[in-house]
Amino acid sequence: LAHGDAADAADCWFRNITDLRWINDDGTISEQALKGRAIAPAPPQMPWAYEMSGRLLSLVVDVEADGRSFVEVIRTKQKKPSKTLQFAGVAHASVGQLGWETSSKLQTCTYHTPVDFPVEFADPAHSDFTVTGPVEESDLDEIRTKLQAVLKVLGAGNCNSLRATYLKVAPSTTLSSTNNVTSSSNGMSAMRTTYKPN
Amino acid sequence: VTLDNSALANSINSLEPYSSSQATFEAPPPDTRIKSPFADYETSYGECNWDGFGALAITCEVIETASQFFNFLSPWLRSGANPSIAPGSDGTIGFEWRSRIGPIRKIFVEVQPSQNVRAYWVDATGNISRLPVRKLNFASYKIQDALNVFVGKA
Repeated sequence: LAHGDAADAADCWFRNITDLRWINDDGTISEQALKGRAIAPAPPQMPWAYEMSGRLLSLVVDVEADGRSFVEVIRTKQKKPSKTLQFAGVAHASVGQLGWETSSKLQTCTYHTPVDFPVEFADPAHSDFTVTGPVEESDLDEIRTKLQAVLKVLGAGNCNSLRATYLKVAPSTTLSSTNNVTSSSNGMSAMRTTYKPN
Repeated sequence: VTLDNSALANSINSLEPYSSSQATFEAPPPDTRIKSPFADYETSYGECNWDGFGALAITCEVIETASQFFNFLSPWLRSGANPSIAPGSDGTIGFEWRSRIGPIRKIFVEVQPSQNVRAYWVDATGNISRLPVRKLNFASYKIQDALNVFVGKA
């Protein structure tokens, strides 16, 4: 899987949840977890308009440990450690479920976009949920609502059971290296992917 | 945060052009008030970057507006229509109701700075109705109509 490739429909895309309040009382992901810079305008060189960071299960060995490490890295970057910042779990769905057309004909998809800089956020499993087309602010309400219906939440401590949920997604034995990005189907391999907040 | 429900009720009920037979607000007796969910918001989310990715601070003003809205919700809270409440990295506080049944399946209310509120709700067919950004008092009337439908009182 090369930088910029569409992810396999059978793979699992997931996103770390870093605040317990971002899990609703009914176990769904909170709308607030999908706002702000979570779903943000993509850099201008990208072929899509909006994107949200996540990871591909097929390229991850230990979801739980990685999630905790992710939060620890964030914590080291805060002048004053946040009281509520914690690895609360993951929101997940199959890549196939994350591809649809909105009522205003926007297209959603998931692309493999490994991150190589800054090094503390380097992530060969990084992938973006994307929205392609002329996105209006009002479209995001519909997209977030759909995401809430599609994404399931696993709380911290249970995240490695994702593998059992997506039985066909075996961990990659040759995890892609950010220093060894090969050719890309859409020419994006030449781009240096920098970690985008959330 | 100290809130005066009577004052809020008077303020809201004085907006005659927007009132209707259903648009009434009764302040709950003090002993039935529901505990504020915002007790730790100022210390937890009151400074920028609380999420580690440059989140905007949730200001005291936003917390107070959210508290006022929460008190406005007392009749629905007492009937069991409890929202999930969460901070947003855009400096907002969100209230969210969800249901698998009924004509309205989701209501989302976003409390913003400057006492502004934005809301939308999703019906059973997936259609979205929106309330553009309004001051809290004005928005509350529209939202209570949606809430009444949500809880089956309309």
